[in-house]
Amino acid sequence: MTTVLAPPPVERRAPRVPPLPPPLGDDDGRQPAPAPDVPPIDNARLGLLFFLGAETMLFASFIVGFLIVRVAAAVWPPPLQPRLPLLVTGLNTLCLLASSVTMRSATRALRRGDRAALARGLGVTAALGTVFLAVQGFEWVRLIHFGLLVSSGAYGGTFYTLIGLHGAHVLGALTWLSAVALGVRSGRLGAHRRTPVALCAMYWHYVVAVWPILYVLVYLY
Amino acid sequence: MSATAAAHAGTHVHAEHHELGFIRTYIFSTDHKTIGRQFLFLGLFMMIIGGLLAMFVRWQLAWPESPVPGMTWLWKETGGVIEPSTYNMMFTMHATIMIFFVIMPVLAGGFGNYLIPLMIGARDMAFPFLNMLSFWLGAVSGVVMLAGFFVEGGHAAAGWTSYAPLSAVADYTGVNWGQNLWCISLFILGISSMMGAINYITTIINMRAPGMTMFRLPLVIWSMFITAILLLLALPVLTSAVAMLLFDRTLGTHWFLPSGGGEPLLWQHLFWFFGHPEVYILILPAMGIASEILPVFARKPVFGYHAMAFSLIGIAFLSWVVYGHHMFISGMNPALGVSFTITTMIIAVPSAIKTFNWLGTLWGGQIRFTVPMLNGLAFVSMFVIGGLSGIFMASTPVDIFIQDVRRLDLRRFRGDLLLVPEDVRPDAEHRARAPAFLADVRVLQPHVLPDAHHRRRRAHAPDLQPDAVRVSPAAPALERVHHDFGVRARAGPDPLRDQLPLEPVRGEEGSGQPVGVDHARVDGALTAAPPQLGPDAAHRVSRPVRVQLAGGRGGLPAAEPPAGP
Ligand code: HEM
Ligand SMILES: [Cu+2]
Repeated sequence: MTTVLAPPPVERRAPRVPPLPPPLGDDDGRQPAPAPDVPPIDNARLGLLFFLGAETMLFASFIVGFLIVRVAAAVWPPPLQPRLPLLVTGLNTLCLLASSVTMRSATRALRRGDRAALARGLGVTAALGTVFLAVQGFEWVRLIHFGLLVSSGAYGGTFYTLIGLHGAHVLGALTWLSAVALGVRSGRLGAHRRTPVALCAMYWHYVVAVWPILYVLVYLY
Repeated sequence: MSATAAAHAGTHVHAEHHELGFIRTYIFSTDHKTIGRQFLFLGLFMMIIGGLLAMFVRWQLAWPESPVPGMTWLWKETGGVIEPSTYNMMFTMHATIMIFFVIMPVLAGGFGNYLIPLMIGARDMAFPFLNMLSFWLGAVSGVVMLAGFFVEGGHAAAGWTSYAPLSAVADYTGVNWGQNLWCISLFILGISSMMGAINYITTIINMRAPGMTMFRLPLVIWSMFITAILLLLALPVLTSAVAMLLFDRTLGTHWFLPSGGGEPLLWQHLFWFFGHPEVYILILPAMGIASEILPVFARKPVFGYHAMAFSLIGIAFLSWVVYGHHMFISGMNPALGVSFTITTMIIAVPSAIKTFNWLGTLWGGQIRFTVPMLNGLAFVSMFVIGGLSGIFMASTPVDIFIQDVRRLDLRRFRGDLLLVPEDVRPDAEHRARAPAFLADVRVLQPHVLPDAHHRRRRAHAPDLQPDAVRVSPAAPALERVHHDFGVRARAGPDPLRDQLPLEPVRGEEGSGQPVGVDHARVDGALTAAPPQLGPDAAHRVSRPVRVQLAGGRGGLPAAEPPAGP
């Protein structure tokens, strides 16, 4: 019977690489706080926050563009061009701001777990948003009748671009809001699934918050 | 910022493993590695097209007005000769494609998607579906961009910078839907990039494995993080600018058209406010990759990790306040120019920190000249050349004086370095590919060796003035056309030339005229009745002096009194 000898263990030189750092703690030996399993802001909220950052840059560039054109103009509004409807739009502004308040009461209801109040709040918010858009559209039609066109120089062009940009955002937010409201009604969303509602509310507040800036710059300034 | 367990926050962790069909695996995949490869292949495909365009441009420069071999089938009327309008289209689309559809998809899209989850220990991106959407929107925007080649009037021809009002009025370049599609494509690409950026940032902040603190991230991930922030905040500015341009062209707004009270310079402000962060978007991923390659093949940890990370942050901040260095000759207020000079010089500091840290990484290392290492070293040396040239260009007295001369090649040289393939695989068939690297260097050589380029048929600035156009820079500006690339005199009726007091100039060597220094640029005024100037009037005052003389808004170089009736 033969004995199979295992080959003698090879003497291996340690590789000339620095030892790995300890798995935790930095070079000074301090231990970092143990990683929480739940990040302070969840992915969806964080993503939306960054999206709002990008939106802010978008609005900012349009606004800066408008201001550059506006400041350079000798007379504004240019002669023979219709004035913008200050009062109606002012009231409309209040309407949009009110929608932010109702949205807030809706999210409060969400936190309380009051489904009826939540659905009501979302519904009223959506209705106020719709009124805002409708009034804006109505004013556009009137302005077009008065002869303010997209092509009427920088005045018309900047007006329709800026207000249209915001209107498009309200429309987008309204679509999202309607979807969320339907979800709440059908019971898919609610106290058990809050994030979609909360995100939509965040976006709504953002879109509302942009409007007063535009109102002041485009209508009042 | 503390890390978190990827698996917990991760999207779906199914107990059972079910097979995805072909379409979900390879086409509409939500897997970051597949999406990374998709971006890579999109970039490589577009690189073929962009490369062909570059070859046509070079052909026209080397042998102007001679037929391109094998191209008679396409340009039948001219027998294969590249028409002036086609030439304008080619350099415009070369730059557009290379920047937006090659470098960005390959470096940010490809490497970013592939590496971020792997290197931070996450299962996938934070929003895999959004990731897929980002790629496919990018692909759609690529298709829209390519469609522009097939529409009546050809593709955009106003330069990658598409300065208004040249780009804002179809008649000026004779391009109608080409430029519109250019705008639409970049608009879609802006949305796609924003989706990608949101994904990268959220993933890096929220989905690091336990123990993977921010300051343990590999530097390439740091660079992707900063790139994503720049993308997120810079791209919307371009998006707004192209939207305004599109509205000007199609709806009749007057954002950039002085005839309706608009401001052409606004385009430059918006474009470069995006544009300078954009150059960092292009280079930061490459810097990150270099920071990974050098330590590996120098067998040393990277020198000054924290300094590297902080200089990335510093660059990101400063890149917002330097953009005016692209507009020194736009007639901006000289005081403003000085402040941009200063900020630009300051941004060279974090750039230099990075360079010295790369050198510090190499110092005393056991350097192995593998192909990735050669590319990494080439990157560092080219960045030195580019950065140094940038400092000189940042100083107005130099920049204004050397505007439009051949030093542009230095810039392009710096741009080309991004096309040199970087290889993060530590040890692969590198020796076999060493010749490829040498070939890259050979291609780049003529750009920097003065000897090589003086041997060319046309010295000085051939590509800037295949057939330069000279403009009498007189008369108050109604509508200024200021085009950085030098518009060629077009054959046949040319609305631009008819409206501007232009005279085509052939840069003859030995004619005593500078061959292409002042001629190359359209700096003109649209006036109701262009004053008749003698042929030399345009050059009575040199450009730097004219720029300094020009005061006020949109100051037109050469506010010379119109001579004659
Ligand atoms: C040290 C940092 C840098 C400085 C100080 C700097 C400075 C400048 C300046 C002053 C100009 C304007 C020159 C002119 O138009 O007269 C310029 C243009 C340019 N730079 Fe940089 N730069 C730096 C980094 C970069 C990087 C990292 C890239 C991209 C890889 C880059 C790409 C470009 C390009 C493509 C242009 C030309 C844009 C055009 O007009 O089409 N730069 N740079
Ligand atoms: Cu720059």
